[in-house]
Amino acid sequence: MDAETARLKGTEKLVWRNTSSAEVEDLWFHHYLNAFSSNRSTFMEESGGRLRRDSFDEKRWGWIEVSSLRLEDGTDLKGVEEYLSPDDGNPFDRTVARYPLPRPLAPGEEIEVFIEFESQLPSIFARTGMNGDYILAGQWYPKIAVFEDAGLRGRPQAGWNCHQFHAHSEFYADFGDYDVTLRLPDRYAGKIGATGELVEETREGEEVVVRFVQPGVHDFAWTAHPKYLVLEDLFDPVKDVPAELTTKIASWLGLPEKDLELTPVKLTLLLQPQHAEQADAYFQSAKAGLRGLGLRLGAYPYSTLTIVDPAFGSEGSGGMEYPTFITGGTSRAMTLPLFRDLPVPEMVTIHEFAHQYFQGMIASNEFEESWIDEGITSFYENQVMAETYGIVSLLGAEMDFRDFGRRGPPSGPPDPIVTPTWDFYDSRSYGVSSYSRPALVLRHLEATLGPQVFHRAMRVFFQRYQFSHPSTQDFERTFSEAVGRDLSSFFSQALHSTRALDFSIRSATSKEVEAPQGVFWQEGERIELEKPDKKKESDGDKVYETTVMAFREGGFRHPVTLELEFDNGERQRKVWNGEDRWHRWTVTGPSKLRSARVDPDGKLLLDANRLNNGLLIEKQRGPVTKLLVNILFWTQNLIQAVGLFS
Amino acid sequence: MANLLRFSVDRVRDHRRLVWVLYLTTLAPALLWAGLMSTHLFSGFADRPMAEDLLGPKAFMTWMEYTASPDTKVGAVLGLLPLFLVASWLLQIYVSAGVTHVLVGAEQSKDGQRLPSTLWAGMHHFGGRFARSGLIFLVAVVLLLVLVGSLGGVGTALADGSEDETWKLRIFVLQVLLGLALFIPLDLAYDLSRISAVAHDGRKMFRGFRKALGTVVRSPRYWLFYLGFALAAVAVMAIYGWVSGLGSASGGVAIFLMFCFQQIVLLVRSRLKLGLWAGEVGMFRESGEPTWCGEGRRPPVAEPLPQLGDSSFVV
Repeated sequence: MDAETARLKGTEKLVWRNTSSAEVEDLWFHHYLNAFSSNRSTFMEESGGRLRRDSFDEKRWGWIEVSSLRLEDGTDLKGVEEYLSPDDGNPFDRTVARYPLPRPLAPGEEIEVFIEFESQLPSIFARTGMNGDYILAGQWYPKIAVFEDAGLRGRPQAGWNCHQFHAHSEFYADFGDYDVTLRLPDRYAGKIGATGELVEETREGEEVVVRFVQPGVHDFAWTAHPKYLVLEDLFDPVKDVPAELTTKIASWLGLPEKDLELTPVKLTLLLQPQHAEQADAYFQSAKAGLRGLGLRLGAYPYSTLTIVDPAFGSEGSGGMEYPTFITGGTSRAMTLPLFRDLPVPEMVTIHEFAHQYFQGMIASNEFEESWIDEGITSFYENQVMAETYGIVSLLGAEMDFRDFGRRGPPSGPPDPIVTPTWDFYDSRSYGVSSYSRPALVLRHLEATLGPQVFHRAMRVFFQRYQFSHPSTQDFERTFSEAVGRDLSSFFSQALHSTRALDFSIRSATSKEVEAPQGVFWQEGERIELEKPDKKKESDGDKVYETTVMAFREGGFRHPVTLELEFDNGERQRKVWNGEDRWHRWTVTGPSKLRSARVDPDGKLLLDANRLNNGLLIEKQRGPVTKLLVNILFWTQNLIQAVGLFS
Repeated sequence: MANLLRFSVDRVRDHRRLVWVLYLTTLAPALLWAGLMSTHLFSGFADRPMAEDLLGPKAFMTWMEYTASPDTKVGAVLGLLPLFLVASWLLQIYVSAGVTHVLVGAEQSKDGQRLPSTLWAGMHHFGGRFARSGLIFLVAVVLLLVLVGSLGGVGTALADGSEDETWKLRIFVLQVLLGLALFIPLDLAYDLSRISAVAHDGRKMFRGFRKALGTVVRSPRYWLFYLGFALAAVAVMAIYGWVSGLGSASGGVAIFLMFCFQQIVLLVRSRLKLGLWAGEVGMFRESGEPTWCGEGRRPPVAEPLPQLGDSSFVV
């Protein structure tokens, strides 16, 4: 690494085995850094040079170039190198490269490839780069794409899955054993962190040489900064996992507590000196993630976790996940009294740690199905935040989801959750559909199925597909199997359509049933009943007929509970299958109706409009009066504030 | 300072009804606004079970849910808010012209029969000038914001250069302090120039503002006087926040008590505002009643005001 020019020269030995049942005729590589090579790359065209509240610095473009790619017999494939743009045909995009092989690789056969490359890191942007002395190197080397066998992720025939680098997409890669040696100027000695375990650090002249090793991961990132405070801690399950949490989750999962045993993990925190006060927040939140996800899904299988606190001005590299290596994000302002109690940096750490499971071990295709990593991760982030800090971190997301449903162009979510990242209507649709909507789908399932059933199913899915590449269909099938119910209709609507879930009570009436009067026949006898004297009638004699009209306002079909509450305190419930457009419920009883509701327990988290979920027979003026009193007060304050200029 | 404070207290005591005028100036438009909202809230919210959550700790989330619903109609009313605020600003400009006229005018009028006519005469005669002055002040504040805002770039550059983010924080704190420190003389000069315009029937509002600013800049104790009133207003709101955090009103009586408490808070703030303005009249007297805005053809206020330190208003 030449730290003066932010340029590195590398050699890569790749041993690749054809695990498919088909012959492989070529090798495809991601050259991700070329996304930053010009303003014409697909990434830059889509992002406009702005991403994650960060702007690209055009003073230093980023690129990667392969100078040779040789096979064992010395054949150099550089001459047949071909850049492709399978997603959009952009001729200026050089993020996907193809190298035809001189002969096809048979199923099960291994190939060794020796690559020489040069990478120019950009100024920190979109997860990678170098600012000053601070380096965060992600996607810095030629990265082999995934060769998918027929049947994998529903694929009809075997082939490479290699997409261009898009503004809203992350990555997709195969598992491998990484053994990486880095050579940097010696001012970085002791201040380098990376995926995996540091096995060697030596000095050679004015350079420091470090070697990191990590089997069973699908990416390798590293960082260096002379100013890092390097702190270590240990996640010790004996000390760091409360017994009551283990007991609770074991009962959900129906497993003995010993089956939930976790393993110790060495935590390394590379912290900016200015954030020294926040070391404990980083460690504690990482531990919360290790126990929260470990107990629910299975123990974190690696021995190390490195947490990076990005340098100031390099926020574009924050909030990112790589195997055994995550980047957080905080600022000095978070130590001020006003913000001290807001666990925002903790939320970021927990979110990125949760990615160790969803994308780290469940290595889904983030290009095509971003919800599997971002949505499920957001769900678990929310779970861990709630149990650790008592904060439902998705509350804002819920509102965002409803607001999006109402205002999103063109009226309602424009895209299904399962949409390729580059095909979303806009960045907001990508954000809501990848993060908050799928997280709400999972919360909805947890609420409607119950935590036991839900968490067991999620554990089955994780255990079955860890260290592989499951698709949405794999998730749906496994989840349904584990739950023991066919949820295909739910998933088809929730994940593959833009249908809105919305039930309402449009009308509710209760009227007194008149006593029978007139001529009747009883056991062959004709009797005549007269109109009863109202004055003599007591309240207990009255009978009311209550009729409630429930409607399915949206296209989403879903069973829903209806509840009637009567003046005498009695409540009646029934479940309507929600298939038809409307449902009439008529009951008779001794009391008048007070209110009628759909989804009285608020379990349908995906309900796009909760206002219409019920009707009160008599208007309640108290709550609205209180609201108006507050509106009046704050409007007066606002007018007084304007009056500062009067 | 003590003289100014005494003068302010005396003037407010002499014109207690002006507190109500200021209070009603905010209450009336707010009532109109709340009335507009109420038509939607009572028809589309009061019959929904969700509204019952307004009484509990989830009140804010419930309100957000309500506004996010496609069935809600308050969006149209909320969209009118900017227009409404501009109208209320104009109203307050005219009322401040009347109030200043009363404060600058004969102290003998007190809360006697002359108050409505003096107030109205001030609104009628000086309202337009006050509106012009208001625009000048608005421009000055915008320039101040641009100036203070541009410091943010300095903070970022310093932080980037030194890789020390505390520079950003330090500069931010400096921005806030500087913004407040510069706002105080601007607002004082704004008020004093208007007092001068009323006292001498002056019309040159920009000139008045400029000259008053020069005087204010040379009188830091006036800033402290202003700061005292500003901090008192902040303290009132802090007390409100503390009291309202003690619990959530759910019953009819509790809601009524909450309403009363809120309105008392606003009355106190109106009184503080009047106290500040009265004190500024004292500053004007102390400065020798300068003709910053020029002199008009109309005779100045009917009776000369007593000077600071005169036994007639020293308690």
